[in-house]
Amino acid sequence: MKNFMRPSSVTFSSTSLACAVACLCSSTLLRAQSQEVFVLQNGRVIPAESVKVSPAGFTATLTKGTVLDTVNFTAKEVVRATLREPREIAEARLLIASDKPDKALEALAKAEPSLLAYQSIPDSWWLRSAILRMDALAVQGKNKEASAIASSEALSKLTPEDATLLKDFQQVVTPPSKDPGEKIEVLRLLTERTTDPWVNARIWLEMGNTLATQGKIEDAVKAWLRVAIFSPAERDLAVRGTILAARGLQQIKCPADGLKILEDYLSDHLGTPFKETIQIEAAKLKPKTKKTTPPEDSKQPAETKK
Amino acid sequence: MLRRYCSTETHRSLLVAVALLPVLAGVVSAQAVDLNRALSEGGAAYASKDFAKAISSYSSIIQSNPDQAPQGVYYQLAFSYYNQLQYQDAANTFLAYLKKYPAGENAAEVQLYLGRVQLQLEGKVDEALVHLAEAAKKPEFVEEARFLAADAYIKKGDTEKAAATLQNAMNGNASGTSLMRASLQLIDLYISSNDLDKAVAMLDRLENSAGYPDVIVTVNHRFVQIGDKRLEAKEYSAALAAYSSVRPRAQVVAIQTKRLAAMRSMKEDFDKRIATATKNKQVLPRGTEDKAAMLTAMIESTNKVLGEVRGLTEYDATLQYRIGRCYFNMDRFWPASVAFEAVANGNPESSDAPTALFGAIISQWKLGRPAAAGALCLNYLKLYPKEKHVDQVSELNATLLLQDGKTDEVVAFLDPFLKEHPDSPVRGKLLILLANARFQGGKFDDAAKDYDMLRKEFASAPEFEEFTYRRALCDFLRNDYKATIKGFDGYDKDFPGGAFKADIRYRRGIIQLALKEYDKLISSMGTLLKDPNAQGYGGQIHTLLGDAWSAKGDIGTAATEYATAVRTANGDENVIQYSLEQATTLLRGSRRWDELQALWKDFLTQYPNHPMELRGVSELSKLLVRADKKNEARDMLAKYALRDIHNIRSEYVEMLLSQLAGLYVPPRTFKKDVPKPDIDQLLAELTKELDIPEAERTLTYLARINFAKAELARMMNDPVRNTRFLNAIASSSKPEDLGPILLSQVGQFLLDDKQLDKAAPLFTRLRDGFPDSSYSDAAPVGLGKIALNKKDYEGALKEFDFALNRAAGSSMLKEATYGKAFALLGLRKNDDAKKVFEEIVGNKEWTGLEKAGSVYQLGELAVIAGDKGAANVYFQKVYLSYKKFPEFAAKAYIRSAEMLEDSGQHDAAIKTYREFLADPRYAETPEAKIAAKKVEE
Repeated sequence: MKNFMRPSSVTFSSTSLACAVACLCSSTLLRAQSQEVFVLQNGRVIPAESVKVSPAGFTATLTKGTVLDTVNFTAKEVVRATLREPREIAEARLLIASDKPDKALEALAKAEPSLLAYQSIPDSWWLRSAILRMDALAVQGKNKEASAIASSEALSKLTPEDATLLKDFQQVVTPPSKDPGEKIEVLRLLTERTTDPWVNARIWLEMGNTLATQGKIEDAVKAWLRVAIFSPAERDLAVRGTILAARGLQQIKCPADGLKILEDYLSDHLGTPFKETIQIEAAKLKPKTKKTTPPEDSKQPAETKK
Repeated sequence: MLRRYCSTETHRSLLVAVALLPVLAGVVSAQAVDLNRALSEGGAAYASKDFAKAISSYSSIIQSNPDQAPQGVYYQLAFSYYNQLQYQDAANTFLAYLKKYPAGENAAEVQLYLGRVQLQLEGKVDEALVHLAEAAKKPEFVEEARFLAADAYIKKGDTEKAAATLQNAMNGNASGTSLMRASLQLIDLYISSNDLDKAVAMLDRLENSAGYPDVIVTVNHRFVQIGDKRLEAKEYSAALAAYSSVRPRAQVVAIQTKRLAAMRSMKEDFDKRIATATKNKQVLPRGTEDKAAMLTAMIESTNKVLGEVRGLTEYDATLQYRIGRCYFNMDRFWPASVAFEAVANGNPESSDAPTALFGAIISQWKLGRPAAAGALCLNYLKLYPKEKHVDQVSELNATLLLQDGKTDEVVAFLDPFLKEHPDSPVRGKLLILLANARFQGGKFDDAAKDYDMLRKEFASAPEFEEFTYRRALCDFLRNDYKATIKGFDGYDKDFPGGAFKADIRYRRGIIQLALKEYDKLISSMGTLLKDPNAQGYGGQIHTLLGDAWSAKGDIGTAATEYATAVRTANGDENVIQYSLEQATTLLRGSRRWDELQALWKDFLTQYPNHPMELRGVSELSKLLVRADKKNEARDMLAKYALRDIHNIRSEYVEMLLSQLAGLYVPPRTFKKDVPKPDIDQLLAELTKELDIPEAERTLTYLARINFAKAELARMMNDPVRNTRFLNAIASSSKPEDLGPILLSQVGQFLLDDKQLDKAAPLFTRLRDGFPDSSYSDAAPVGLGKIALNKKDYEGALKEFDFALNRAAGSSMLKEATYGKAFALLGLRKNDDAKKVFEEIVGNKEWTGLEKAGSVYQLGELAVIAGDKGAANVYFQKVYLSYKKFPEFAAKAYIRSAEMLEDSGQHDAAIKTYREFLADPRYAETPEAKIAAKKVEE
């Protein structure tokens, strides 16, 4: 049956490549020279290590030979900042994917005060932190609270592009109205419009969640799997997609298939930080047997324990 | 990159050269005057980019006075040659400069450009490397020198050194044009020499560099190229990794658009500065105009690329198709199917879409999901009726429908298809499928005609024997035993070693059973069992023997035969279900408990996940309890419940948990002095039985444990604990964590407890998430009751109508009908309401509160209609027949008395009040006070 497979009938246009190369050969002006930099409206590139947050915005202290040059600028003057992802944000992604949204929120709370100064910089870590906070709250089922983060006050401080992204993400976490079909339609439009890779992948995840609430588990599985298949670079979401798909497959009476996609994930990602999360999930899918040793009293599932 | 224009550095050199003028000015002679003029003209020509003239002027200076020509002359002459692409002359002049001024001010820059120029010349790569190494000693040239050196190594074919050089540059966070160009060159080199890992590593580094937006299209293409090579080499995992690195079109467009906007903004800024300077006749900073011109070129190029990428509508589809192929070839059919469907659904017009959809069909088929594969087949046939896989898809579709028992659909599909495609290469196969569909669908007359036609048209087909056999079976199944025997005899004669011989012998046995020739049957089937060709038919033959023994009245042997039939059923559903029932009934009837226990135990082991598994667990647990093996029964129930404990869609779990909870209820005792059972202890034991590692406990698990406890409390008549555990489920779980049984039960509990806002999301989830569950009608009933409570009668009516007409479940028809009547009352549609209440009263299968309430409401409706006599009859019926429901009976007493009073029967009314007060069960009702007051009056 594999014989039916043939190479795609489409190849990438070579003319466009020629253009790209031509374009490449003439450009020198737009690039930063360092990984962590602020690029200002006037084209000036300032290394991030020289920048400190000041009451009025930012102050950079640059050395030119033996002369110290001080540059003051505001967040609104920055056209781009390429700064390393704060540890807490990376941690929050891991925690949400590991089904620990409460801990993710704690991690984000630690990072947020220091990110506030960067709020008006395009695609800042503040924006990513806000999106992750909304995501974590949505995972906890606190969708209204999540939606409230994209308040008009917060939006007014962002660049128009970022404000649009946050508003779009607000639609992702907003609980569906009486008709879940409406939310599906909204999400479908968002998938077409949103080019941010993480948010786009998260929309597909939500598409799966919404389809699942409608009982369309098979469609949900496909939406969840899309994240793992087409957005593997968004590792946290790819893992979430894989786990949700595995759970969904169990629900449509394909538990072995669910287990297989988890096992495949582990074999494909040997050093993954999500190893334990996936293993636990796989254990949940395997037929259970009761524990042989008596549990400690404290570990008994209390009726109110979440 | 060609140095076509003056860079800032060349301008600086020009100034240096001009500063040297006094040197020549010191030589007072006519020749000196000419040389000074030549120098001045050369400088002016160089500044105005007239390099030919600059070459002429500077060359004349060097020719006439080679020893005294200043270094600036050599320097600018060399760059003039360079800008005129006269690389050999440029190289010679740079070399002359270095020979004359080895420690000159511009020596390092000259080394750099000498190296660059030598790279353009044949056989000078090694020399170029030497000069580039010299240039790299000066920090400002180190980066460019490295890239040129990488270029040199690439030219030499020393890719390792080239890569090492580039990586050093990248480690230094370089991202300039040269780096990008050299990296891409190296990547191409790696790709062409099949050193794909290195190419990928290099591409990954490029992706993380700041210059990535400039090369995104090229990088994408290289990843696809690598993926294609890997795919061709059957390195699917590596191909997948490469394809996964390609950015989708929307992202490429977004990145390029952003870049374009940034360039335009920068260009506007440059234009403004140039305009202002021109207007004010100010001198512009060096290079401003060049940068503006460069930006114009870049904007043009980027626009062009963007336009092309926007026009590539199949960009994503072709990538998704490739990803699908990788997964398919890795036997990972779920992701393959999803990727293929993404192509077919997202870009149905793309050239890959038909094959992708075919791939999805095969993937689902390989996953053992015939229904899903069938649905995709239909989609394919609808979308691509003329594509090349249409015959294969048609055959598969018919096969899958037939496997699913949808024989009418096979006929409805194949009949027109065969007419539309008379020359289909799979016509024969499709005709067989059509005949088999009619046969399987019980249309034996049509099937007989089909097989006759097949025997005639395909007499040499390998299936001819099967046509003959099936033709005879058509008679058999039409109970035409005479024709059947004739057909069977014909088969036996034509195919003495035929594949269906054993089956025919078995069927002869069935005819013997029908003809009540039991002994003949028992004998012939006994012989058949010894035939190795009949091995797969053991279950059917033993069933037949069971029937024969049973008909002969030997129940004991019949039970044994049925039990053997189950064990040898070989997956035959008819045998399993029929013989299991028969064996259970007969073994139970003859009290052969051990054998019955063994039968169900074997069944559960032999057929895991069988639809009768729950029944088996239930039967076996009862048998184990009967055999005084309660712990074994508990362990078994726990094992089966835990198997699916996290799966909210498994409704078995709650049923098993409920049964398990029942095994913890101590037997009733009427003995005195027996201590009361310790319910907390029992609850702890139950929880322990269901314990799993803490890390694996989900909210679904916890909710189900609480459900098991609530069940035990309910069975122990402990409403306080029952309420507590149900409340715990409600407060600690999200609706998404609960299956239909819990949603229905906890929702109902919350509704009864007047926690309407908490109940609503549970019912909504049950309605939306489990529309096919047999418990689903609890959702519209619950939501209807909530709407009634909020006086939203329209909404309530809609919900109740849904429950009555469209819900999959039918467990709450009575409640839905009752609710509908109240909704109609609320909408003041009294006549309609009356009819519905009468329907409830008239239904003999319905009892309980709803019936009492309906009779009462009919009374009230009679009051509204002014027929107090009829009303009183209804009220009297309520308090006489429905004493179990004091909420209606008490009211009915009062209303009956009121009716009597209104019709002037005061004494009868007082009698009714007194009768009501005399009954102690109504003593605490509010109606009792009204009655007491009336009697006093």
